[in-house]
Amino acid sequence: MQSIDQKTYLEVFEQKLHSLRKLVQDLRRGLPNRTSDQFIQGLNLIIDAVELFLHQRVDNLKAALAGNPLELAEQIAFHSKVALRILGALHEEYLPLLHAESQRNEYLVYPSIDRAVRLFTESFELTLVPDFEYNYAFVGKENFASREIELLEAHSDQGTKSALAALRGKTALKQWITFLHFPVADRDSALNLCVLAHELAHLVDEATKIYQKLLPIELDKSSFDELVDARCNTPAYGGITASTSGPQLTFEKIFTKPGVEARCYLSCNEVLERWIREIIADILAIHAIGPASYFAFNDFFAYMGAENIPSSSHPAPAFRLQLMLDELKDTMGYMSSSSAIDSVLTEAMPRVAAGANAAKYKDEANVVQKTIEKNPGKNADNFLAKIRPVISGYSFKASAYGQQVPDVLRRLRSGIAPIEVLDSSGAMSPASVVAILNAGWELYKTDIDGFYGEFRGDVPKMERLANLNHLLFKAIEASEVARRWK
Amino acid sequence: MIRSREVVPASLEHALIANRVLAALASNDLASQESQDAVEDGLRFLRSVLEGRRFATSRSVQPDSYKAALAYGEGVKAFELLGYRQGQSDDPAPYLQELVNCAAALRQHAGANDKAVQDLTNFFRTIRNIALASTERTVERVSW
Repeated sequence: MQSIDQKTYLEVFEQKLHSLRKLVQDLRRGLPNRTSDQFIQGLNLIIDAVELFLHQRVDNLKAALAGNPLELAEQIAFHSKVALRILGALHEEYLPLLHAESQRNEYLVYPSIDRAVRLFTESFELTLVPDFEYNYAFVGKENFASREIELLEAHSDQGTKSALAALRGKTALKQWITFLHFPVADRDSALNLCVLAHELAHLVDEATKIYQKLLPIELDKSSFDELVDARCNTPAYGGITASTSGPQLTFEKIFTKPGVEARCYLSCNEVLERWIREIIADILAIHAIGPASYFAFNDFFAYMGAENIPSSSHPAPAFRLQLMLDELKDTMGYMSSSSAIDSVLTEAMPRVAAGANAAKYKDEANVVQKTIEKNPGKNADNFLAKIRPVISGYSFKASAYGQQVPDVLRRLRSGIAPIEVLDSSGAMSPASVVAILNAGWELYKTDIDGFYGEFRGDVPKMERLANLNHLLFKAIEASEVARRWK
Repeated sequence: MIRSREVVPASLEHALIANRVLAALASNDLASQESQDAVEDGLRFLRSVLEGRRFATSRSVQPDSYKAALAYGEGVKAFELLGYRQGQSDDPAPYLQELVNCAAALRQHAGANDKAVQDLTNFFRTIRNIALASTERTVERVSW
């Protein structure tokens, strides 16, 4: 027996459908022209599909179960719940993206990001989303809307299936609908926004299926068995006992050992995938923009006050920084000279290595860390060797740094936006965005006092730093314009 | 950070599969195309539960292992909730294999005994409830 009648379910659905459509319409009106066009089309398609799915299913159920009112009520309740869950997911997870976009300002870095993504895929829509949560994030959907509609088709009767297929065929959306979240507080800092290279790398991972190439991976046996045993012996919540005088109930007694093992495997699987994807993005980003990626993360972790402990979504910060420094040194040729940038990186090495060694791992994190470190045939070297080829053509090695950055840095140091530089033929050509970002970081890390010394004494220090960021934004934007017009 | 935003999470998909199997079993017309498709999807789900068990026991992480492990997790939960382990082994594999055999027999129009069909019905009813409940939202959030 259903506690809520079918009429209520269906009316609530109509109301939510109407309010969701209106919300999408209103939010679209508040957006700059052509922003997230594909995403909005996808949202509308899904909303239409859910409406079609529920209405047709209910009509068919009413015909098929006319003689069985109890079953009919249960089925209508079930299908309404499914439809409402989907509308709820759109409301909760997707509409905030549209809302946040309406707050956006002009993005000077967008054309450069767009150019970078096109190196890996042409069929995408990318939107930058300012966020009040101090965090960077990547949200990517492949075949958005058509995948969701196909799923509803798979669970429909023949008539509904055909109608949904026709709806799906009406619009062809781009393959990737993606969002890059960044903290609003960082919107005026070209230096901090370098973290976006890592978020973009998540899209490259998805588009080129790097993670899949690293599988299969076997979870470390001894730490996994330890985890299962520990969970089996964990006392049940609230100190429940089997009887008043009996022994303490444990998870194993309440569930089963295979049940506990299944839960441990699922959580380890999830943590492993997340960590490996983060490592992939770290490696791609360090190759793509060189030391700027390391410095941006170093400052980001400092701002976050990040403890050197792993989370379910990320490896320990020091482990990640060490991975980046090792990659810069061993594969990209940094830290082999006495240049200012090499000195800063070399100096960081022992501190970061000590932090990585001191990181503490427990539970799922312990299993995953040991798996990454020890898994036979999948040790760190082999692992990274499968990631590097994807980015090797765009790696900003020490030799490129030495050729491109000093000239850009000279201009920056003199307070000039380094838009164009002399190329090897003696002609002026647009400065590379990667060189601009690295010059900014080198100036900030090695001679910021010299830069501050160029200002009048009454200009506050942070205003001077804001000026450096303005110069960087200006150079990024104008060099991109120059590159497109050449 | 990667944020996962599923419009139709895997659990909701499992609930849809389970509901179709239940509808087919209740229809008294297992020969219809719709019922056959539903039983076929139910059978695929059960095989994925067993595959999830293989992944979990071998600790092997593969491209589809998360989805299969999720199905296995729900399968084990159903096994625990339905109380089949009382007086028997904790290992859900024989029970799950019986369910696979029953679904396969129904798919091939071969007969299955009433108890086996009842077990299959109970399993999918429990899966539907577990899967639907796992996608529920909190009704209210209060913080001080």
